[in-house]
Amino acid sequence: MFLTAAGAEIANFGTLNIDGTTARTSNGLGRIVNNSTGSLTHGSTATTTLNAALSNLGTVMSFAGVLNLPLVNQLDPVNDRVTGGVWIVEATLRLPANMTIVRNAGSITLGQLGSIQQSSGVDGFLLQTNEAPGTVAIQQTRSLGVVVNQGVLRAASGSLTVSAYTQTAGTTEVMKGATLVGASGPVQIVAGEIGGLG
Amino acid sequence: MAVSGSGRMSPNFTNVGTLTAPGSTQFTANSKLVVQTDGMTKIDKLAIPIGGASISGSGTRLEITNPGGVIPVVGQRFLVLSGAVTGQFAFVIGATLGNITLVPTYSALGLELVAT
Repeated sequence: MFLTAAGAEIANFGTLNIDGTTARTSNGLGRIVNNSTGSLTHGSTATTTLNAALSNLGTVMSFAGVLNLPLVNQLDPVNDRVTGGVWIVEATLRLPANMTIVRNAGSITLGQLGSIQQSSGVDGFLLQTNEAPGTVAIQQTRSLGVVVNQGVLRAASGSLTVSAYTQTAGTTEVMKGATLVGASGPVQIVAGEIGGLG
Repeated sequence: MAVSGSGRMSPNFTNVGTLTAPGSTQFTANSKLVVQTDGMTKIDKLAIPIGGASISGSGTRLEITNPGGVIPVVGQRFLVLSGAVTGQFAFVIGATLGNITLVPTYSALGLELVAT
């Protein structure tokens, strides 16, 4: 699949696999719109760069290998913010430019072996604020700094250690077998709910 | 952990279960602990093996839900909070189940609800 002209567009309403070892478009020409029902998947062990503009209104799933996404409407490198979309990261997902996810208003699942990285390959998931209606599910042992939750934050497995944690709205869910620990500051639930699941 | 303002803690959102807090837990003004019972032998439990719980301030609430509607027998005891407890919840909501009342009893074990 290649988009080779400006203005070319793929609108995905189903499942679009983007496996492969080469860039799938020509130098940023064209765009892909992954609609709300659409799933854009990467399941091969290859490194794939999708260098067309991507608008993810549905779900992006990274199951294996490395998926580079340098141009995504919902990934804002200026503010280090995910503005929307569903992102299921079971392998490696590389963000635009030197973006680090600090704020989230989308839906992120960081799987057991998942890694969200800056374009340079260093860790790109340093969540500080999970905004409503953002959802974050962490399925691995992970350390974060000071975190504010206003959406849904789920410690799904492993140990989630935060320097401090304040929930001002929304829900914190701790799955059976998982832990949420405030390492150097309190876990404060000012509003909303915290509870177990499973 | 600190639950304050309109914050709520539920040991389990979906089933009857146990949530273990990794350290001391404070319930301050207007906060809630919400527990679900099956009316027979099980109830949600907040376990605080280290540090225990402190309950202070006005408006703290223990809310009991019993979605199955099963009524416990007199004398049945339900441990909802294990560990040292200082203070008491200002209000207990949902304690009347049919002709049974679940009475909060604070002891060295923690907080139990005793069917009377």
